[in-house]
Amino acid sequence: MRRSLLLLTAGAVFLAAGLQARAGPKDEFLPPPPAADAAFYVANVATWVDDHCASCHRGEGGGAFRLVVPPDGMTEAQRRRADFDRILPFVNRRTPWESRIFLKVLDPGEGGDPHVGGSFFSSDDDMHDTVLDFVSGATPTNLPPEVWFEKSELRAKPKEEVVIDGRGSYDRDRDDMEKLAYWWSLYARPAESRVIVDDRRASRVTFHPDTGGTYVFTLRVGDGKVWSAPRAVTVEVFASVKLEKSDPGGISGLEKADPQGLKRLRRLYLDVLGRSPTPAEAIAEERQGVRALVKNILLRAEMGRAWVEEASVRFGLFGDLRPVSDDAVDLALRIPAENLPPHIVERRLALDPSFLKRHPPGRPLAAAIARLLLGRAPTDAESLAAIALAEGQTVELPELGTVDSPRAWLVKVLDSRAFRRAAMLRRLERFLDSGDARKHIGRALNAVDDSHKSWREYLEGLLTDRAYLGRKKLRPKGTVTFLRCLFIDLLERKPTDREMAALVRAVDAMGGETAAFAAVVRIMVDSGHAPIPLLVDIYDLPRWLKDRFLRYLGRPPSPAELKAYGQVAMDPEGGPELIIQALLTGAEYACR
Amino acid sequence: MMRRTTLLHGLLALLLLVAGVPPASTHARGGAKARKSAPAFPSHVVLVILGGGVRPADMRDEELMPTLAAMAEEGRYVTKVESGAPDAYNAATRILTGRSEPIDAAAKPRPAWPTLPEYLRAGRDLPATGAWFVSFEDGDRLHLAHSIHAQYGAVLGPSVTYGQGPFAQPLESFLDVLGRPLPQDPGAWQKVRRLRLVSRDAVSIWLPKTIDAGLPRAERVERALLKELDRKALLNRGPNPRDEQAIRAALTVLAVHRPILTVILLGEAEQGQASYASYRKVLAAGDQGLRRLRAAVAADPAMATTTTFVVAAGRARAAKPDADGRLGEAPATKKGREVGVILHGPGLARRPKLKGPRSLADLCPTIGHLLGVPTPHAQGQPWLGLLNPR
Repeated sequence: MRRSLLLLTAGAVFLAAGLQARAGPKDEFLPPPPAADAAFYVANVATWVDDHCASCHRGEGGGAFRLVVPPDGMTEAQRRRADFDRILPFVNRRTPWESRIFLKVLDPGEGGDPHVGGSFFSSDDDMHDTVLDFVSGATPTNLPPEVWFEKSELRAKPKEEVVIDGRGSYDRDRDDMEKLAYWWSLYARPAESRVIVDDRRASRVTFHPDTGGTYVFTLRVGDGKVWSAPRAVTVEVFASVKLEKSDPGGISGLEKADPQGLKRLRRLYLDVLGRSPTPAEAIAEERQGVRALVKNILLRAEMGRAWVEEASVRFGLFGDLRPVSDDAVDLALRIPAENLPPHIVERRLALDPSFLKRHPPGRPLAAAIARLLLGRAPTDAESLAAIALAEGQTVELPELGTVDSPRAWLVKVLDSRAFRRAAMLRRLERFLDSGDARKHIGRALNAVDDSHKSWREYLEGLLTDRAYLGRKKLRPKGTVTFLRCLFIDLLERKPTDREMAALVRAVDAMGGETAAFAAVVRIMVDSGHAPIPLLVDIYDLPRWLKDRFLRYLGRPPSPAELKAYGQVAMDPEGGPELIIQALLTGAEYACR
Repeated sequence: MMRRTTLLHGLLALLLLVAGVPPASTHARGGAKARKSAPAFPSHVVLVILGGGVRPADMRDEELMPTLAAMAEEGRYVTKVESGAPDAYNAATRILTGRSEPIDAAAKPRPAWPTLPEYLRAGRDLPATGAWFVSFEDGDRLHLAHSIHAQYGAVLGPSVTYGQGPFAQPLESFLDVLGRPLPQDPGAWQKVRRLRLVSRDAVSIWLPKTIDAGLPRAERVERALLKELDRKALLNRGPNPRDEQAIRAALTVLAVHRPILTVILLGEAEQGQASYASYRKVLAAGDQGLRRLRAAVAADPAMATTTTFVVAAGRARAAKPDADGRLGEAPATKKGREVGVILHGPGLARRPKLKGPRSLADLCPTIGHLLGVPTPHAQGQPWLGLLNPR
């Protein structure tokens, strides 16, 4: 039961923190989390693998995961040991609950990954715990301890006392709970903050955030034999954000907001955080000065998460091919903390091993390097060079010189000025039209060359500029932003990374058609999870309609719209559901 | 006499066009006669492989397969096509690669030689969505989509779908949690359309051109996607559930992507091995599916007059059921190895002259000819006597 709660908590971290929860600490004082153990595998897991995985995964077929085909003379014990070696690459030692071998067989309703062979267990099954023990580094003589937090995301105001309690952590053996040791780390904090952890060994930490922004604490627990994998708690600290949710089915109160302020806030949220603000956020923040608002938004961990998520999707690094390297999984937090510029962000993602898996050497890599990194079509010379490199030859490439492997080629491209410029252009196009982005690129590159701090200042200047804030022309939201907005506007939560991966795959299969988004809207509206009021519960229809327009589109309805939407709302065959469907599947909602 | 009839048909088509009434079908009975306004070659080909084994006579049985029989009547029905394939996997490989070397079907390997979708993507420099492979079965059966050939292979493979369809399949876990949407009433569509257009008008000057939400084209695609997803989609209790899924997936693919080539692999006729009655039910249901495919194509102005259907049986079956009511494998005689192929749509010669032996391996170069792409590694010969010259 406790294990289930723990997984739910992990899910909640993803729900709220996206990639961040995979970023564990690099704590130099402690040994790394325990590795998966062969003896435990042979004793507790091997039979189950033979029964459930071998029919598809032994030998050819079955994707990247292939069990051993035993040669003549190999004993059963040797075969199981060889299988263990094949399984190891699918175990994630730093975040065992994220191991592919575990997620692939877990019920998708509990966060499992899609699997052609289907799911084999849910958290109620004994095998669920056994496999989780295995990936967490259990041995025949010791089960490792586990960190547990009641809430993995907290919100607070500056100077307010924040308590993070790790006392729910436990030892899987449950025999030496008294001996549990704690080790806290302050993993990320706002650049201006001087907060430190007073007592790293306490079972709970207390701190007073000295400035607004995102603080990330991690905890590891030890049972005297091994130290667990770290888990993170995020503390978002903002001066005026209302902490409680409004009633999503009722009137949000946005009608009292300043229209210009609301418009400005929506633009910043959509462009920087990749989502629309909730009504509570909008009401709390729309009256803030532009400079303070921009500064505040750029400091949030969510900004880094949104950027990394969009770049990962663009590179095709999601689902089974999500980034796995330390540099990439830490990226979301490091962006706001270290003011990372675009070429460094994209470079860290492109150097992740998943990139070369997603775009294998040969023509696919040539296409990815040209289109995704350099923003142009591949040349014939590049395609031929890519094939030669894939065959192990050395090639001479214009401007890059001699290249002897696909990875070396990738590294040279990522070091090039052309990539630096293309990455910057992509980031600027997040905020500006293509033409304006090109006009700005010289100044932006100079700012980055100067220092990371001047890059932040440049970005603040750009986002507080009247030309940016006053833009009337709409631009497509793009897949990831659109989907995030749908979750916020309809379900009042952010999508989990698995939901996002499934939806991106589905929309991709439809060639990015806006109709695919409309179908997703319909699923959500009919799901019963979206709190949509019945007509009888709406006492003031025009006011409710105006509220929905402000909430979804950031503007009040025109008289013609008010009339048409009012008629459909009152129609026995229409109603509030149809109003919401029409608003969220219209052309304006698809734009930002 | 013949020339006068053609002239009359031409005049009639012209009058209908002037009057704004679309002609009933460009391939109406004796399609070759009315083909003056039809393009010389198709822009799209839908290749349906009846993989489970079908007797040639059944493909022209008006009671059992009225749609297919009508297509045979209006288009071209090619008889005595040598299959010789020992099983469905070999047959499909022959059709797709244009080569007849036997393969070990038990291992279901990827073809060694390029497949038709690969030739098409290479020849026309198409994205993956330009060619689709829709299968009644997943797993190793999907290996047929593309080869392991060094110059072609996965890079030039088609988009692939099976089971619940290209949109619903990746959404499976999401749908498990949120459930499927209810089918939407036609009246509701009308209302939503009106509201979307009112709102679109309010901001039209600021909208980017690429956003088609609220326009008829987007609605057509949206309706196709919702049909694939809605709760009715789960009610699949017909005699050919897997074929039915493949046809529904193909309908989505055609509506959304309008592929140049859509390969639909069916296989439920295999039920003939167990029961002749089941076999007939599967064929009848498959014919219904084919009718829906044709209707979907006819309803799409961009595909209606430019799509050629090719329907090929991979293998034949025994002429009569045995004493146990099973319709077993065809005997290993010359006649037992022969199957039927139906071609219907633009690209067919007015006066067909098809002579000499023909085999399933000819289909790959024949479709290549229709689409104007070379199929250099295929050993079969295109049925030039049946096609418009290039």
